[in-house]
Amino acid sequence: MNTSAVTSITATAAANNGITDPARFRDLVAAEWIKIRGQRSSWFLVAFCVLWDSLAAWYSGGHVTGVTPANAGSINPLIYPFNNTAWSLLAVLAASFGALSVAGEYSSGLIRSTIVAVPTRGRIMAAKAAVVAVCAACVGLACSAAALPIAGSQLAGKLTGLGPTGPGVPKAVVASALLLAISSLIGMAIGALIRHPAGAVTATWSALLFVPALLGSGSINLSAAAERMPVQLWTAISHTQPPSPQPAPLAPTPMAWLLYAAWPTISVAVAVWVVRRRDV
Amino acid sequence: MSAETAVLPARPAFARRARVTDLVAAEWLKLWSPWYTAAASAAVVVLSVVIAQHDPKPVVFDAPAWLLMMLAAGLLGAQTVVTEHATGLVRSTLTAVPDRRRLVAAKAAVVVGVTAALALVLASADIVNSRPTTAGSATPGQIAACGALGPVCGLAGMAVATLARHLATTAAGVCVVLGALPLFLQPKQNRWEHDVSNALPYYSWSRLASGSGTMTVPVAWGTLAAWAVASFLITVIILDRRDV
Repeated sequence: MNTSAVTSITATAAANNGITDPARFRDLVAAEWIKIRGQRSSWFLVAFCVLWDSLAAWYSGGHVTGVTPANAGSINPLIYPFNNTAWSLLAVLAASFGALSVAGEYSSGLIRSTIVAVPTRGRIMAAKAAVVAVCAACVGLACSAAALPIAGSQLAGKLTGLGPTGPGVPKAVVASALLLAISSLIGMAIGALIRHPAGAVTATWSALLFVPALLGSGSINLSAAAERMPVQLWTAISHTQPPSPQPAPLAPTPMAWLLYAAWPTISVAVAVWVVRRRDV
Repeated sequence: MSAETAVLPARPAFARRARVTDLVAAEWLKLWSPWYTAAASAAVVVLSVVIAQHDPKPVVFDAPAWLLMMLAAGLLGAQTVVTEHATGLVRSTLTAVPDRRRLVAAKAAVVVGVTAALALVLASADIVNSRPTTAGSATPGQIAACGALGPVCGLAGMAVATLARHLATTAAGVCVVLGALPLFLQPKQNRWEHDVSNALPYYSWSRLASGSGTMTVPVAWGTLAAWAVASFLITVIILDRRDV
């Protein structure tokens, strides 16, 4: 056996090794990103979110009444770009996106190919959660980036403080990006539990929008439960500035951050546990 | 001659044209056989009654709690259309019943019946479980409005499903039209929001069932009727014209 044959065998073995290597986490992330990127509806959703938030900032910034030079200092300008109604819809859309990233695989049957390719289901879900959360956070950043200057220009001459260095602005931008990431992970947990696109979407909208609205509505006296929901925590974290006339429902911010961390942790744990335990 | 007649009947029983009762029976079978139809209906009635117990307002038919019934009725209606498209059953259905308008009429009849029953069951449950402040205050007009709200939402769900024809989009669409719009648009806000929200079934029904709002009773009934008719027309016309 001459040297060149040995080299060639070694090279072949090395090549095979390269192919049969267990998929690295980076590969799983790449695969999940392809699944999201390849769908036209993902890009449509991104465009809708940014457009919706821009319109909401434009509208709420343009319909401000009762601001005078005397009381301008006591009004928190962040309530206009970070309008609760606008962002609760963004949060529920991010959650629907997360729910469909799991339920969609089950309904199309793609989950079988995915699990045959990568039998360690926990790693699949971890990669999916990472990609979904990062995508949702990026959309959140894009929405903030659109809403802040639009609301700022609408409020010009009435209120200031919406520039990138304004008081509380960096914190609100981070909290808003996290809101969409957290919502998308909650959606993933719901998608893993329900595994049917229509059922998962309905459950997501009910859990994140309708039930908190019902519980927190003035007529039904269960607002303490609604204060623990993600959008209400986001309000508490991003809008609380001492002299605001619209105080957040939940005052203690450390508690809000703790719950803010608990929601995604529990959601990912549920998604991983359910997908690992159940047959497909 | 008589022997031949006996052997060959004029027309075999199974070859006759499907009658409306057959179509209704088929649609009833499709709607009621999945386990989730009955489960979701029962869950909605229980949840809605429980939530209504926590409302301090002295109304028999608690509006926020009825939002759940609206969503359930809308989704029941929507799924009769969208699951046919999602599973491909619609091709078999249309092969068996080429007259699409009759098919939609039968579907709508079943949806109207089931959602009206669901709404009336919830209304009775509310009356049975009424709190001391509200006992005995339900009028026939209020109960009729409750019974009408279910079919209005069911038909609206069918229309959304006909337009979307995709499971997740339909579910989100029903949630937006029946649930999110009345949450986001409220009649106490500015003028256009006041007018748009009064055109929603939720606020028309609230006017009739709990006397809230500024609409007159005929306008509220008219709005509910307009939603039902428009939804039915959308479903019939689009399903009749589109390829499957």
